[in-house]
Formats: sequence, structure tokens, C-alpha cells
Amino acid sequence: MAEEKSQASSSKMLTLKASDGVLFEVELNIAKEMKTVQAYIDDCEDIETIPIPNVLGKHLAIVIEYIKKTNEEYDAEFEKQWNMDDLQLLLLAANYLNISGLQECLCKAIAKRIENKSPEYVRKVFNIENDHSPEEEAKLRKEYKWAFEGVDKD
Amino acid sequence: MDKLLAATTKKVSNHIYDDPAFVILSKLPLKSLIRFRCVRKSWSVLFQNSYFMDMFRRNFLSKDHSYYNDTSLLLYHFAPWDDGNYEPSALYSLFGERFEKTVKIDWPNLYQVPYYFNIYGSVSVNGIFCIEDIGRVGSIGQGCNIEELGRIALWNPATDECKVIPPSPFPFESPCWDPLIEFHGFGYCQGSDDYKVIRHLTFFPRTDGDREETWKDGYHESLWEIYCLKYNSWRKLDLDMPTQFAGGAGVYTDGVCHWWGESESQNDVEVYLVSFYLNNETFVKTSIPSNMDYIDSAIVFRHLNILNGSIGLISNYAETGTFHISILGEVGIKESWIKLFIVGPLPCVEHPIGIGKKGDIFFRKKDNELVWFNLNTQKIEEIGFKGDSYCQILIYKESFLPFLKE
Repeated sequence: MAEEKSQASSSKMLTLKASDGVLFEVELNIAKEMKTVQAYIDDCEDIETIPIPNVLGKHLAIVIEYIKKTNEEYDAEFEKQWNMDDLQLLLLAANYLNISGLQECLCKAIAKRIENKSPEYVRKVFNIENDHSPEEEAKLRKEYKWAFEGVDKD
Repeated sequence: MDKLLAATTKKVSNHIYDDPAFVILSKLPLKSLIRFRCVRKSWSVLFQNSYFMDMFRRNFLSKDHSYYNDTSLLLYHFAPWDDGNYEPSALYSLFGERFEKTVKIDWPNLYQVPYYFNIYGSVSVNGIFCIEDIGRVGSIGQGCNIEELGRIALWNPATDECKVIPPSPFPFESPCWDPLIEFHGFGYCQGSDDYKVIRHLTFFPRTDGDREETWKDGYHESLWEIYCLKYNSWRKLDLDMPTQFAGGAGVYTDGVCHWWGESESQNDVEVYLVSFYLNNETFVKTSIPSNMDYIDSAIVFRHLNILNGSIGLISNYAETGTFHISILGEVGIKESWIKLFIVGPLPCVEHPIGIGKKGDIFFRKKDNELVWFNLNTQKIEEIGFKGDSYCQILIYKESFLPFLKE
């Protein structure tokens, strides 16, 4: 009896509904990798469709694919396909859905992409306003001149 | 940019901890972090932010640096003046979860009779050691022929390939002077596919000769000499480079030999990290910032190491039994030393003997027990092995490639 039940639950399908209405049917064990979804299921056992209001369909598709395929090799190639905007949106999705492996993979990827860039580029990427005064910034640039050598052109 | 992203990012980056941005920043190298101080005010004080530093430290330690791929730990033991508790020099491989298993590695059979060796610099380069013979088994401590000083060889324990390096003509150039030969570096120069050894020679008047004669000779310049395997010969180096602090050990990173050096200037002795580049045979000095030491400690011992691929400096404040570990962000830039860890107080610990992988620091205790301290767990454990005051832990990467060209 117990065996049957576990077999049934492992092939149980769940529907995830992205913010733009796109629906995804996923196996329960895949959905469980998203800790946010797991918490949702824990709270409401009979639920069949779970709304994911913060994530667009296109990104949810990528996230689900990641969970299915993740391994060292896949992770190494994974981030190469996406531009910076997508990487950030995927990171927001991974943070919201609470998928630690994907969070780590994306943070590493974004770090790698900004490593050799200028402060201006980084401000644009994170949409940050510069709150240094011009004098403060000039002082920092002078003091740490060596850190600005070999930086990629924007 | 997508409105959703803009709105969420702005909201998120105004948060007191700059959460998602900090996670990304904690994975960046020091040079980038220092450059990004310009981005905004909160990023200019990252190193004072304990939340950020904890993340940075964790990342630093867990980083899978390729430096450690397929490496094992060796324990080198040197105690030639011991009265029988230890073998004069022995090399062991350490295994096991807690390094409790050891396997002895035999020295090469170079001279048809058993000899003891010293590992120059406690480094292995592409699986090769530069070893110095310190005497025949059974004759240790009985003094040796002056001409036998500084006899070295290159040795690969995995293949047992061994090359005795021809003696340098410079130490014995003059019959009135005795040389003090001090090893400074051994490494591989990728550009020229060559192995090099660099040593410093200081000369002292020979006392068994006619004293008056030797003093008349005046002063014998000290000099630097370098050996290149490709040419199988020694030549002099015309460099005004600080020599290694007595008793110190250097480190080696891709093509660069580093040591903790001192040079006299005016009324003071200045200390530097000296980095000698094997490809163009030039050097760079990196001093330490004046605020590096947190207390006005009269007794500070500095140990140079490699910690997770970066050059690390362990400062031992003997009076308090604490060890401060700083890493260097960029060679030549004294502002790029970042203090990462404070270990201790560990009152029973004498000094560090080497760093393993993933934040394992090995120490020798005052009772000669060897222990390892893990920076992640902050736990200290004995490895069940005792060591004399000179023993070293080395990272070793086995190689089966021949280094001698046919």
C-alpha cells in the first residue's frame, strides 16, 4: 500500500502558472526543488495549480529545464546562453523560488561577467545611482589607480 | 530595462544589506572589489561589513581552486641535530580524513650510498623537487667537506627521474673565502620551458688561512646566482634584491618565486614580500601597510604561504598566541593586503608549518605534536604525528612527465 502511494506521488504532476499566464506541467519531485513551491504544497496539500506571480513564462521554462538537467557539465555551459538582463531576471526567479543550486550558478556567472568591468558598467547592470560626491570618487580612483588597470572597455 | 526588474532591483538595492548584490560581490577577486568602491558609498566599506566579509571568507575557502586539483599532502621532516627521536630527514605522504595515515617516501639513490636530503624551499614544481644533500646516512653531524656544500638535484618521486645539478663555480671562486649558500627559489618558466634555481651567496673570510692575508683581501661582494636546466649551468645575476629573512621559507606560484625579504635602509630594516619573475629575471617588492598589525606587538613572526591559490601571510603574535592571516590581492600593491582570518588565541601552538587544501592550517605545538586547524569549522585536531622545529607541510601534485630532454 505504502509502495503504491509513493509511486503515485513521484509521478504526480503539478501545474505552475507563470506571471504571463503560461502554464507548465511538472513532476512533483522537480517542483519540490523550488523551496517556495514546496512550502506552498506543504500548506495546501490538494493544490494542483500553483501561481508564480514574479516569474515570466520564458524564465520559468529555463528554470525548470535547469532543475531537470543540472550537473557539473550542464552548469558550466548553462550561463553562456543568456545575456546579462536574462541572467538577472533568472536570478530574481531563482531567489523567489528559492533554488539554491541555481542561485549559486547564476551569482557566479554574473560575477564572472562583471569582474573586469568599470564601475559605470556595474552601476548600469545593477541599476544603482552613484551616491559618491565627485571629489570622493576622484579620491578613490586616484588612491586605487592600480585596480583600474586592464579594465575592459565598456 | 524591464520595468519589473528596474522596480525590484531598485527596491532591493536600497535594502540595508544590498543582499543579492552582496552575494555576487562576495565571489569577486580583490582587485574588482577595490575598483567597485567607486560604484556607491556602501560598496566602499565592504571590508568593514561583517555580513559581507563572512560571505567573502566562506567563498574564499570553498572556492575550488585548480591549484589543488589532484594534489596530496606531504610532510617533510628535518631534524639532523636530534639525538635519536627523529630520523634526520624524512618525507611522508599524508592521507585519510584526518591525515592519520602516513606512507614514507624514499629518497632517491643518487650516490650509491644512502643519503639524507633537504627539500629546497618546501615546494614541488610540476611534481619535481629541488633537493639538497645534507649528508650520508650515519655521518650526519660529523661535518662535511666544504666542497660538498650546496650539492643539489632535481627529483621527481613519481618517476624517480633525477638529475644532479653540476656544482656552481661561484661559491668556491676564491680560496680565502667561505660561502654561505642560501636557497631563494626553485620554479618553472613556461616561456622558455625551463627549470631554474636561484641562490644567494655571502662570503666569510676563511679562518684556517693566514688571517692577515684574508683581511687584506678586503670585502667579497655577496652575489646572486641562477641555474637553468636548459643550459645546465650557473650564471651570476646582477640584481640588488632583498634577501630572505633568516629561517624563512618562500612560496612559488606559476613562474614566480616569492620570499619574505629584508633590506637595510637608513636606520631601519624594512621587510617586503619579494617576488622574483623567472621569465625575465626581474623582481617586485611589496611592503606591508603600517596598520597591518593590530597591536603594538614586539614579537611578530611572519610566515609566507599559499592559501587557496593566493599568497597568504600568517602573522604570529607570539605574546598573545594569535595568528592573523592576510592575503595579497595584487603583487606589488601594498594596499591590496586584506586581513581575512584571526585564529586563536591558541596558547599551546608554536608555529604554522604549512597550509593544506580548503583552509586546513597545520601547526606544530609546543609539545611537538602536529595539529591541523580548519578555518571553516574552527576546530583543531592532532594528526597523531610529532615533529621537530623544522618540519613542513607541502602540497604535491604527482606528475609522470619527464623533465629531462633526451
